[in-house]
Formats: sequence, structure tokens, C-alpha cells
Amino acid sequence: MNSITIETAAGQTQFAPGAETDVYLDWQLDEDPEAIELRVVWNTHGKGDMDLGVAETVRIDFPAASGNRQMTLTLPRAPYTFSGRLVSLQWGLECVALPSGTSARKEITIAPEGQEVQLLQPDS
Amino acid sequence: MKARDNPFRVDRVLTLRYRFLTGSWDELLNRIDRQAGRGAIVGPHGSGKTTLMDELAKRLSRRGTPVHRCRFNLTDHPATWTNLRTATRDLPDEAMLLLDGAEQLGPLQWRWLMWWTRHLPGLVITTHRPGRLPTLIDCHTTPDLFCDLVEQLAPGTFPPEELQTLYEHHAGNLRLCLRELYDRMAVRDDDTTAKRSPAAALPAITRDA
Repeated sequence: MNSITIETAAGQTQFAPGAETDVYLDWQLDEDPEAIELRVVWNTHGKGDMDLGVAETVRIDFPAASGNRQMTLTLPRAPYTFSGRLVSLQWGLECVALPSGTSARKEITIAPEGQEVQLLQPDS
Repeated sequence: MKARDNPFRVDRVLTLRYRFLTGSWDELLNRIDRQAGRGAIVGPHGSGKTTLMDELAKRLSRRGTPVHRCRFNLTDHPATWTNLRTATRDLPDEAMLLLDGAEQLGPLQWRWLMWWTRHLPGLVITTHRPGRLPTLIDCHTTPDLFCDLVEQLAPGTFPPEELQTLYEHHAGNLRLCLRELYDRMAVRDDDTTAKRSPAAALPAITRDA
């Protein structure tokens, strides 16, 4: 069975901009992949089409079908994770096995003090 | 409600699959084959033509047919005619062209397209009115279909009467109906409906990149 897991140090998911974190990847695949990529991505959710950006990609070429890897990432400084009524922006760590596309995603927050910026008006 | 928790956010709406009110995938694919790969998906705005075309492209690709997808939208993307001409000229001989929004092509553009695609194994278009190519399927909606889709996105959130009124207000255009439901959810203070479970395993959004 194909599975990929992404863990962060101490299970932390809220980070300050530019923070450094250890990321631990574990994969169990049926076949040797050509590569495994860890991507630091942001995307929007909301009423309009999804926008998407890849801030960083770490590629592991020709790994074994089962394995694990620990790496240290410096997270981007912007944009911040935020939410309003029309649009939200989220960050995620995504791990994709190529070419099969088996993947996993771990959502994280990148914002001052690790707290999502709220655009909602409390009295409306 | 935060946009990311709104059950009618676009990325969630796009997970809805086309539902045949009559017919099936097998019938549609057989009809395309019988019509030498040519035909039109016909229907008014918001009736599921593009959703059906998206799924058709995937099914044709899985059958081993190279597919080129083109969305023609003169209003939003004036460069599309140029893109369409370039893409059509460059298409490999074995590729099918799937063209969304064919009703926006003028008569001369349409004749140009027919000439340049005459050698291709297939041309499937979406259009609001029948006539340009033999109709493959006539897309339309019903209030029950709308209620079912809403129930899938936000179970138990809206009463059927409210949805029926909304459906009639937008004359059966489900795209507009779902956008309005987004707005109605956005101004709600509660965020109890259809939230994404943080514990659920999520696939990567960039897995197809």
C-alpha cells in the first residue's frame, strides 16, 4: 500500500515567518519512485479560483520504495497565513512521489507569532 | 465564516462530479465514437457542460486518446482566439480537440476551426445552442439535482424550500446558485458545517504539477 507521512518537530504546525523547522518524511511505496519531492506551498481557498505558489522544493532522487528522511527547512517570510470571508491563504508541506503522484499534505500556519491573521470583522 | 471553511468555496465545488439525468458515460462515449469523434455538449449557463467536459477529457486520456483542451472565453481572455489558432495548427494528428465555449466563435472563426481540425480524430465542443455539431448530450438541471449537490457539500444546512427559491431565482444556473450559497455561508458566524477535518489525510494540491 502506498503511503507517505510528513511530521514536523514536536508536531508543531504554527510557525513565525522565516522560522527553521525539522521535517521528517516517511514513505512506503509499492515501487521505487524516480524521486520524492518535499514542497513548501501556499494556496488560496475561497469564492474565486485557487491561486497556488511553490516557495521551495527539496528533491530526493531515486530513493528506495520504503524509507525516511529528515531535513531542516527555513520557512518563507511571506505571505502570511490569513483568513477572511472571501479568501483564505494557507501554507502546506506537500510530499509527492514521482511519477506515481502518491502524496501527502500537512497544513501549517506561517504568520506572526504563528497565529493566522484574521480579516473577519468581529461585529459583522 | 472563514473562506477556507466555507463549504461552497471553489475548490470544494470543483470536486462535484457531473451527474447524468439521462444516459451514462458508456452511452456518451459510444455516441462520440458513432459520430466519428465529433459532437456538441449543449446546455445553458451553469448546467454542467464544463464539468462534463473536464471528466470527458480524463476518460478519453485514460482510453489512450491524446486530448487537447481549450477554453474559449472572448470576454475574459481576448488572447484565446490566438491561442486556439496556434494550438490547433500544432495539434498532433492523433489528438482530439475539446473546445469549451464554441458559441463565442464567429462564423468565420468556426469555419476556420472546422477546416483546420478536419483531419483530427475528434472535436467535441460545448455550446449554449445546438447546431454547430451534432448534439452529444443536452445538459440541464433540476431543483432535485441542485438540492442533492448542496446536500453533498453542506448536509442539512439549507431547507429545500430555500434552495428551490434560489434555483428559480437563477433560472437553474447552478454556478450562480452555488456562488450565492457561498455568500450566504460567508456571513454566518457559525462554522459548524462541512469543515475540513484536520485529522484527515490530505493529498498534495501540487501532486499533478
